[in-house]
This record gives sequence, C-alpha cells and structure tokens, in this order.
Amino acid sequence: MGILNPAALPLLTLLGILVLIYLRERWRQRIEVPSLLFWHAVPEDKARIRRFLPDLLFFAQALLLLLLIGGLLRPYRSQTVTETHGNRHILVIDASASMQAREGRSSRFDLALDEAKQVMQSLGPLDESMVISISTRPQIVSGLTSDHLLVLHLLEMLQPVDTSTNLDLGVELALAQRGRDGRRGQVHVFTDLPRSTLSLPQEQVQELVYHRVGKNDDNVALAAFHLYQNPFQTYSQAQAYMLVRNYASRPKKGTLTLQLDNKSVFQKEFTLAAREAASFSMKGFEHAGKLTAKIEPSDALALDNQALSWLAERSLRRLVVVSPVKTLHEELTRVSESIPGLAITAITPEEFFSTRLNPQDVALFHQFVPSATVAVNSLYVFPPPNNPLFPVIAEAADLSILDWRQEHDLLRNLRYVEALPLKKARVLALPPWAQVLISSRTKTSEVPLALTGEKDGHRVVCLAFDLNKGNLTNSDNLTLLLLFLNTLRWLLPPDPAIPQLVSTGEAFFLPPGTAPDSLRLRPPRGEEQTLETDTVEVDQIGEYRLDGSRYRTILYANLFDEAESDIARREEGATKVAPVTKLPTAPQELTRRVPREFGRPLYYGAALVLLLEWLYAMWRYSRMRTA
Amino acid sequence: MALTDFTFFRQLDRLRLRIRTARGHRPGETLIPRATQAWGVEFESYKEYVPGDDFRYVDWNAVGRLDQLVVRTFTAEREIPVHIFLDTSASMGAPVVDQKFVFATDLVSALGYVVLNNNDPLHLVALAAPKPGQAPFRPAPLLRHRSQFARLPGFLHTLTPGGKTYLRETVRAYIEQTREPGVATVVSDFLVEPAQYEGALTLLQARGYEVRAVHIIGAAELAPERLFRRGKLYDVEEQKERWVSLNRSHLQQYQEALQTHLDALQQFCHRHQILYSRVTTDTPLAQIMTEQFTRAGLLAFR
Repeated sequence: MGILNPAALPLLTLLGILVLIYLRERWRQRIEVPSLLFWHAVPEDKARIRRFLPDLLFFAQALLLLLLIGGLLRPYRSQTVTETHGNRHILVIDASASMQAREGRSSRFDLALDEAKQVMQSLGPLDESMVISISTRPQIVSGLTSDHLLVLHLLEMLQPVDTSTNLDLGVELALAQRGRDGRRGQVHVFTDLPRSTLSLPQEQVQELVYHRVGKNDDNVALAAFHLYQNPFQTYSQAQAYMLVRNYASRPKKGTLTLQLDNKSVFQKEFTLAAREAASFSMKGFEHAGKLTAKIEPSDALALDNQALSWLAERSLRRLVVVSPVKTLHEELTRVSESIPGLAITAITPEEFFSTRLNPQDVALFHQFVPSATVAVNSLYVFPPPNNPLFPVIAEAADLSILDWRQEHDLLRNLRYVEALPLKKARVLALPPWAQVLISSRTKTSEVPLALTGEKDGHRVVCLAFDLNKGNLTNSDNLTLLLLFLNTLRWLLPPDPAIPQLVSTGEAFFLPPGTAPDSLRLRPPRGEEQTLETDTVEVDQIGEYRLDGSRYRTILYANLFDEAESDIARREEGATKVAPVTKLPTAPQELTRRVPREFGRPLYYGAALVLLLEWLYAMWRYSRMRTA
Repeated sequence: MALTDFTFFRQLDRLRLRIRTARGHRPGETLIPRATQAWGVEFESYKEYVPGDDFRYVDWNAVGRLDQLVVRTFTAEREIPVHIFLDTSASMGAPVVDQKFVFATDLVSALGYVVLNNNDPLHLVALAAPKPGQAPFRPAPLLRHRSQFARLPGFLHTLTPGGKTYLRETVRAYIEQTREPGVATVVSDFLVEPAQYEGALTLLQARGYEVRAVHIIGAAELAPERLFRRGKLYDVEEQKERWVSLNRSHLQQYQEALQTHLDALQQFCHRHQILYSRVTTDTPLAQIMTEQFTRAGLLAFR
C-alpha cells in the first residue's frame, strides 16, 4: 500500500475546516420560535451545544471529502504479476570511418549489416531488438521493439560516417538497455575493432556477442596536414607540412599532390615500407587560397587520402592601447616593429570615449577599465581599484606564481611561467564569467593573477600585475613577451571570410546571437538543408558551407585519426577469444510487482455518497412538507 | 384558501353563525333565539292581542279553543355585526414550517364568507403592535353582502406578521371607536401572558359582545422535536435567544408548560362562557369549519 501523489496530503486539513464550518454554522444558525414562553421551563444548555456533536449529514460530508482526497492521493497496492517476454537483443553497429574500408567487393560496414540482419532473422516473434549506431557518440537508431521488419528497414537506411569511434560508450549504453526491467538479453557488437580494445570489465566483455568484420590492412593515410601561418604572416611566409603513413604490412607506393585553388603546386611520388611514415613540406606559395593535399595510393580506405586547409592573406590588425602611461606605448611600438601587420594606436583614457573601434581591433586597457561594455576582444592590465569589471580586493606585492593552466593557448610554448615579473599586483575577485589562468595563493585563498573568459560574446584577458618599464623588451623577461604575443594571437578575432578547420566528430557551434533558422547548410555529401539547431555535427570530411543573410562561413573538415586509419586492428595482448553465449530462444517469464491504483473506485464511492446524501435530503424535505 | 375551490364554498353555503346572546337592531336574516317579532318565518310563541297588533297574525284556532284573542309571534331575524380580530403579531409567522399566519388568513376568509353569506355586516380588524401616531389596529372596509366577499382576500393579502402581541391594548382601542357590539371572534395563537388575553376577552364581554376565541396552534409547536434537536431558539417577538438541547425530559418539560397554558386559556373561556375552539395547522380547513366549529357552537348548519 502506498500513495503516488503525496502532494494531496495537505488537503486533509479540509476535514478540520469542515468541522469549523459545522461549529460556525451551528453557532450562527438559530431556530425561530413564536415565543420562549414555554421554553423557560427547559433548562438552557449552552455547554452541550458548543460541543462538536456531529450528525449524520456531517459524517456523510466528511466521508465524501475523504473519498475525494483519497482519490487525489492516488493510492495503490502492490501486486505481483507474471509476464511472458521474449529476449532482448541490442545490436551495436560501429559506423565509424574505418568501417568504410573495402573488403573485397563490399565494405566492412556492409559486412556488419549482413551479420546484423542474420541475427534479426533468427529472432523469435516475442523477442525485442534495439539498434545503436556508434561513431564519436552513440545514437539509438531504433528503440526496443518487436517489429523486426521495422528494424531491418532501419538497418538498410543506416550509413557510416567519417569520424572516429567510441565503442566503449556504445557498449555501455547497450548493456544498460539490456538490463532494464530485469530482463535477459544479449548485446551484439558489429565492429572491425578487436575485443581487446574495449576498456570495460572483463566479465561484461565476455557477455558480448562479438561480430568482428574485416581483415584487410591495406591503407596509406595522410596522417597530418599542417599549415604554419600566424595572423601576422603573409601567404608567402606560410609553410605546409604533410605526413604520409603506411599502415599496411607491406610496402606501398603512391603520389602526394598539393593543390592551391585546384591547381597543382606540389607533386611527389613516394614509396613507404611496411608501417612507415614520411613527411613532406612546402613553402613559398604565390597567392592565398584553398589548399588540398591528396595521396593517390591503391588502398582500402579512401577517406584519409585527402585533407583541406586555407592559405590566408595577411590583414592589417590594430591594437588600441588605452593607458595613462606613455612608456607602455613606446614599449609596445618597439615590439610592433618586429610584427608586420600589427598597428598600434595609443590613446589616453580620456580620448577613448571618442575613439571608434572596429570589430577586428583588439583593445588593451592599462590601469583603466571603461564603464561601458567594449565591443571588441580586450586585454586588461593592472585594472584600477573601483572598476566595474574586476572588483579589486587588495593590493599585493612580490607574489610568487604557484599554479597555471598549462593547456591553455595563452601559455603555449611558455616553459617558465613562474618567471613572470610580479612586483606589483592587485588581488581581484573572480567574476562569474571568468576562469583563472595563472594564480598565486595566500594563507587563506587563491589569488588570481591572470584571468580569461568570454563576456557579451567577446574574449577578455586580464593581467592583475603591472608592466614595468622595459618588461616587454628586456631579454630577461622573454616569458612575459611570449605571454603577451600569445594573448594577442588569442584575442585577434578570426577573419569571417577565412574557412575554419575542424575535425570530423567535433561539433561546430554558431556564434552567440546567430539564428539557426536563417542558415542553410550544405554538407560535403548530401543535400542542402536548413539548420535547426545552433550546432553543426561534423561527420563528413570535406567542405561545409553555412549561408545566411547575416552570417556565412566555410568549414574544412579533416580526419586525422590513427585509430581509424590503422585498419589492421591486430588483437593485442591476450588474444584468447571468449566463448560466445548462445542466443536464448525460449521466452522468459518475469515476475514483478506493479502498483495497482484504486483511486478511481474512491471517486465512484464519492459519487455514491453524494447521491445518497441527495436522496436523504429529498426524503427529509418531503417529510417536512408532509408534516 | 383558493377562491376557485367551489366544493369548499358549497360546504360553507350550508353553514351559518350560531348566535347566543348577540343582538342587532336592523332587520336581517339571522335568527335571534329567544327574541320575538310580530312577523317572520319561524313561529316562536303566542301573545295576548293588544290593539295595534296585525290582525293577520291572530290565530283563530287558538281563539276558538281559548276564547281569547291571541296572536302568533315569530323568532326575531336581525342583522348581527360580526367583528373578527386577527392577530398579526410576529409569533403568527413562526415557525415558518407551520404556516400559521397563512392558515389564519384562510380561516378568517372562510368565516368571513359564512358571515357575508348570511348578509351580516363583517368588521375585520388586524391587530398590530401599537406605533406612535398610528392606530394599533388596521380595520378592513365594512363588508355587508356576499357579493363583497371578493374584497376580503385582497385585504388579507396585504397583511404580514410582525411586532409584539398587545391583545388587550389593541382590543381596547378598537371597541372605544365602535358603538355597535355584536359577535367578536378573536383569531390568535394566544402566545402571551394570561393577563393579556384575559384582559382582552373580558373587555369585549363587558362591552356586550358575544365573544369567541379561535386558538391557532402550529403542528411544530405541539411537537418541537420535528423542528430541531439542538440549537439556538430565537423568540421572534421578544428577540431573545436561548440554547436548548432537546432530550426526552426537556421535551416533557416543554409539553407540560404548553399544556398548562392551553388548559388555562380553555378554562378561562369556559368560566366566562366564551366559545373556545383550538385548531392546529395540520387540520384541513373544511374539517374545522364543518366539524370543529359546529361542535364548538361557533357555527351551525342551516
């Protein structure tokens, strides 16, 4: 016994209210008599009247109320039921890039689908099945169903994608689905990965029915394609690096071609020994444009034979320095002399309010924080007390750096972060939108020395320490210079005209404020479609085009994944194959306790009481009339 | 009482007022027992002829037997003024379930019909609580003939129960303005102290009225357990409250007090030769008129 809706329990106080109503009515109600002449002979009985003496009508109303509240409480009693079920079969199908490798005349994915269909055809009518496709993320293709024809149809519709795989996640999801409701079942895994790659507990791995497909190892891949060109370099200074790797167990030949706007600018034939790699580089490009690297070997997987990049033109960037100190301007001017493409505009805080900023600018505020939000990416150095952005708690001196986030782009190539000069610093309260990049520590709390974050759609960096004269140009403070340059690079907004590089399997997020409905997405393969969310799931290699009235961009999606390219997938370590459990065929009988609600009969009871009350009232009325 | 209930009116047509002591001066149709006149319909007695008597009424057979001139005399037929006093105090309207006032107006209508059917003048007086600057009663227009009966219900419908009962004061005020006594019928619940009703009835008798008391009592007054078990009683006239819990002993105490009151009223009427009739609201009106009132001597069959 129990109740499903305890929220209705407070309604029981209505019974108390009913009693109060009765007492009040009795106190208020008076019976008109022609005279008290004869009633003086009867002793007055105030005390007895004041007592709560319920009558039949009160009991009927209280019962009615109790029945209604009882119905609302949704009471239930547990009942044991026995149900006959078929077995569950969860089919996990690897749809990653390596499954597109050719095996004879068909692909590994087709072989996996054929085996999955055979499993489906062997199921009994009561059996339930579910299909999970796994690539970077698992996707439930069909929920648990006994409609085998529907599942077969969905299997036919399934397509592989150009991403890596996360088989563990898919198998964990399948195991969780299998054990739901205490049912028996089996998880079938269709993949080209060896069983040993699963990092699940051994007993769980042994429970799997493993269908491994593919034996071919014949693959040569473009393992990396890097274009080194920072924002201040022009295309002629850029350098392209290509790494070609042979994953086959025999030597392979091929040709590497580099095209700039579909015109070949570099071509080289190569011969690679078994499981060997070779790198190639090129520089001295004559113009900006789309770079396509291609290898043309005769192998089983074509996906990893091509990669895209973009060779950009150098655009002039402006750093607006707002500082009350002239020495910083002079120092930055000296730094900018060695950075072609960077212009410095130095102004005082008073002049800042009349200066117009372009979206491509970067602002540097030294000992000054404007009261209004700045619509460009900004670097704040040594913010003054009582500023609106970074509340200053205290002044500090001679702090030592104790912690920093090594993986952040701002600290790239910085080996001696603790060498930053920290003579004067301010202890800042961490704003909710910011994260600590470099920190020190007092006895009681962490002291942030550098903060990064994104506010109102713009990147913000704040250095809590001051820059002294010669800090940036002194060769002793190389760490600070590198940090400054890294910060500048991180703050420079990307040129919207330049395509963005993404890896397959990643999600591309639209900038804040961009309405997805107005955007048309044209993927590398497939038809153009309207974007429904603010995210683009990149699962194909090639060029994605996003076109809208206010926002447009191009994405270059590449696949550089050794795990996918190495299609040989040798079993490592213990190669002992666990015995495959046979398919359970007999239907299983499950006993479980289910709650049986009996709130509805209470409502019927309430209606009956109401009817009886009405009949009683009618009877009393007619009796009074007769009297 | 519905004016369209012809069956009931046919029953009333058979009834007439029964007069005992009342006398009237105008010739009429009501027979006055023990009163004679020289002409008429109903033979009453003989008397010795005196000059001036109508020769047509000399009984020649009696002259032959007695050798003396005797003339026949007849029962006097007079017009008897009938005064009906209707109590309109608040007690007549309570308890509501008894419909005492409606019952009383119906009863007065029926009595009025009988009176007018005999072509006696009807003075209907509604007794109300005295108010400053106003008469303590409200008389209906004088009705003299059955054809004027239709005006009676119109007057009765204008009455509503309200105020305290001042029987003695209101009756006194009325008879001081009236010079012709006759039959006085007081229709009331008599829920007043004995001094009140005794004063009123005695006063009427002293002024030469033939007095009758029609006591209306509600069914719920006789059996208050129909009305409530526990509760706050409210006296509609005195506007006082009393908490009463009605158990068997309390009920018995109430009924004893009620019976004492009823007995006192009845004995007073008996002692003073006042015709008294007690009617309950659950008794059919026709039964009251044809059985109860004829048995009590208020009415007689023609």
